[in-house]
Amino acid sequence: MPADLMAMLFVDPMPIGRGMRLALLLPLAASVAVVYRTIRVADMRQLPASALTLWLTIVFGMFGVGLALLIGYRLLL
Amino acid sequence: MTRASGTVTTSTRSALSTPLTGVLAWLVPGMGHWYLGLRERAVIFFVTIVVTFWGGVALGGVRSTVNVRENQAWLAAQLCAGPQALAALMWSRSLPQPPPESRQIDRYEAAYPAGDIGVVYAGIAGLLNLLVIIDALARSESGEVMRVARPPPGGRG
Repeated sequence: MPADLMAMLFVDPMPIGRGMRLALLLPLAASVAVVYRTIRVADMRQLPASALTLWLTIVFGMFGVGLALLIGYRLLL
Repeated sequence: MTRASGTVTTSTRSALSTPLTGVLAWLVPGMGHWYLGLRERAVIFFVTIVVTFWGGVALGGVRSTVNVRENQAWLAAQLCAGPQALAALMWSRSLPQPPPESRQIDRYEAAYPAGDIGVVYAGIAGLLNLLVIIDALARSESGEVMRVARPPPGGRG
């Protein structure tokens, strides 16, 4: 049974829809923010607020860059 | 060695401790920090890196995510995540493949974009562990060790 569950989880690829593609940026950015801020903060009590700020910065930064590229692309066409 | 309020800070470390910290940090994400006494950080590193790595494998399937023939640069990044990446590579290679001349579809091969996203997740997990290894080495070199609080012998702490 555990072997079947492992196979189901890790062997068969997941179907990923169009909207899901963008949503998958969020957990990856969270991982980066948490690890980076865990390294940098001196006091661990600052970690949640610090990681959240960095996560928001990454997410909005990426969407900003994407939006700027889309606008540039539309203007050129 | 200095002692203050029950916490022992050791500045003279054995010559083996820094390489050992690096090896431990590669073997298990966060283990280098655990060895240095930074246990809260160690647990956060372990959970974040392991979940990111295996989340990537779950997204793309182990065959497409950890693949020596198609993603060599990414594989190098993934291997920074330690033996878990080697285990995933061996698992990936152990899956049966359709013969090259047949037109049979490989059921383990992920369709776009799941395969690419999985590769990126596992690769980023490896690169994050590389960052964690470097941090553990830097802390070990600088002598930043938090030993478990214990009173000095014969003292009242």
